[in-house]
Amino acid sequence: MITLAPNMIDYRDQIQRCAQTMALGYAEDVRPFLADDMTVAHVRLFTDGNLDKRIEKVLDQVELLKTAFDKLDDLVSEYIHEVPLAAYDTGCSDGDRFLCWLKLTQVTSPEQQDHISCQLARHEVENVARQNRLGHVRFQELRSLTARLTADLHTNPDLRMHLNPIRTWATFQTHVLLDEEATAPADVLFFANGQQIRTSAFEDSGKDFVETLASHGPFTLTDWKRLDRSTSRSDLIEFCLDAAEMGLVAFG
Amino acid sequence: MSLTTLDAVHSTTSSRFSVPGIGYALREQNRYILNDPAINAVEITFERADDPLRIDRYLGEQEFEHVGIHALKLSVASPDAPGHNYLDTLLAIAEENDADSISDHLGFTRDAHNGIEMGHFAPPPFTPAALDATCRNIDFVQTFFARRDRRFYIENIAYLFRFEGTMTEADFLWRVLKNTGCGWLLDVTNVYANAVNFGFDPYDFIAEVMPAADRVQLHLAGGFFDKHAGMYIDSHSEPIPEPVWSLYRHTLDQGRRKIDAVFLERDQNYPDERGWRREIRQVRAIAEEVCCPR
Ligand SMILES: [Fe+2]
Repeated sequence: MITLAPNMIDYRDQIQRCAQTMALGYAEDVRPFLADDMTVAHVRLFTDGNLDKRIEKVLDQVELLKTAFDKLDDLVSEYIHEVPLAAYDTGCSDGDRFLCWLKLTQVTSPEQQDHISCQLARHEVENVARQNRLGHVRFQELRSLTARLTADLHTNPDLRMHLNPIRTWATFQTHVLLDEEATAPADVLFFANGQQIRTSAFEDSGKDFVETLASHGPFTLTDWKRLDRSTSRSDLIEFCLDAAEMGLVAFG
Repeated sequence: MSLTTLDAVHSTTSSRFSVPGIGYALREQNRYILNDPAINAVEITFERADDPLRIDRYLGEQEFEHVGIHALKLSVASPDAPGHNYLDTLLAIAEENDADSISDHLGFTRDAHNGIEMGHFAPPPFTPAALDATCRNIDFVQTFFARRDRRFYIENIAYLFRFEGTMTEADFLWRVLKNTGCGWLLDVTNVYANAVNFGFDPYDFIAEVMPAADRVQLHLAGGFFDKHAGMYIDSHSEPIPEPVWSLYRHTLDQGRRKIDAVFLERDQNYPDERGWRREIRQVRAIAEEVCCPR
């Protein structure tokens, strides 16, 4: 166990107290630590500026909610005065925490919940990419070759299908974010498409296809036919071509 | 070859080498002028490059003589050392973009390793305890980056308030540089802002600290005087003001032969193409004038 020198214990205490209080915009508690010629108003210049920037960033990260919540600015403002920014906040982590806070503290309609699920799923795609950046880059490289290989799908038995590793599912309870032809509730897949995020609603057969490829892939058409005897080869090919077109599957 | 010619070659070479790399802190708004002949260096803000869905190198195809990575969350004045994940990701971005240096600010943004973030850096109290914690963390960071041959620079920040302390900022910074041997990212505008806001001589500050630094990078930017707050705000939103140009000349003179790169920062009120080019060319012209006088 490391024993800290007494001055280091005091220092840790000072930084913790000051950082925690300033992170929520409460400048008053910093007063005992200030230089003689400093006032709380000086600290407030610092904390106000930080909180304004934080509100802007969170609003940016939850852009999808703007149409679903009337007073989104007020909610974000309430959130940042209650929940401090987490250490090493990266990407959309503050926006995610806001969405979790929203679910816990506000009564939301099913339509609003779908907006929250949608925004969380988009962030989750980024989080998956962050944890598997190499997988993302490799799949996108493979995808760039896919158009050339598509014609071979009928004839080349060695061609393997790879599932986009940067993906996540969400379920929408209502129709608010779905196309007219989709039925609610619907399972929606969010996945990376180059630097963008794409979404697609799937029926059961489509979901099975994705999950089979996720658990057993990458595999060839012949492997797949062995796993799924009920679907015809031409249906499988059609499905693959559609999935490749939308950037969910690549051939290699 | 005569002795005179040899001398001439030597003197040209050493003069040329003493002009620092010059460039912008990269923003999407100035990406298109990075091929300007005045630019041979660039600084990447880590948080901007850290887009998990990005496929290509953040810097693109262009090559530069100096590439610096500028970080915001090492929080070297915190009581705890920064986490390995953050350091690993920083290094990955540095390697991907062929950066030769990594920098962050002399302050704290965080209370503890698993704690909370303030969103911006506050100055440390200028005390021996803060000095110990800061030097220990910089040693830790430097050792980590040195394994992959990246030099670390610490930047003096502009602050809006000060904690009670037992030494001046110049003293504190001098000791940090001496104790750790890290580079100094001297933000000239931050020195100017603090000098205006807290009443000291910025020329003396730079002259006092410069001998403690082995290697130096510079930041230049423009802010504005907020009459309501009675303070100069380092907003990176304006052209470089005249007093900062003068201080820049003084800095180049004081830091002769140890300044590796000068980066110009702009984050708001972006200029048009002429504005971007004019300012960076002025940065280079002054550097050439001071570093290799004819
Ligand atoms: Fe700076």
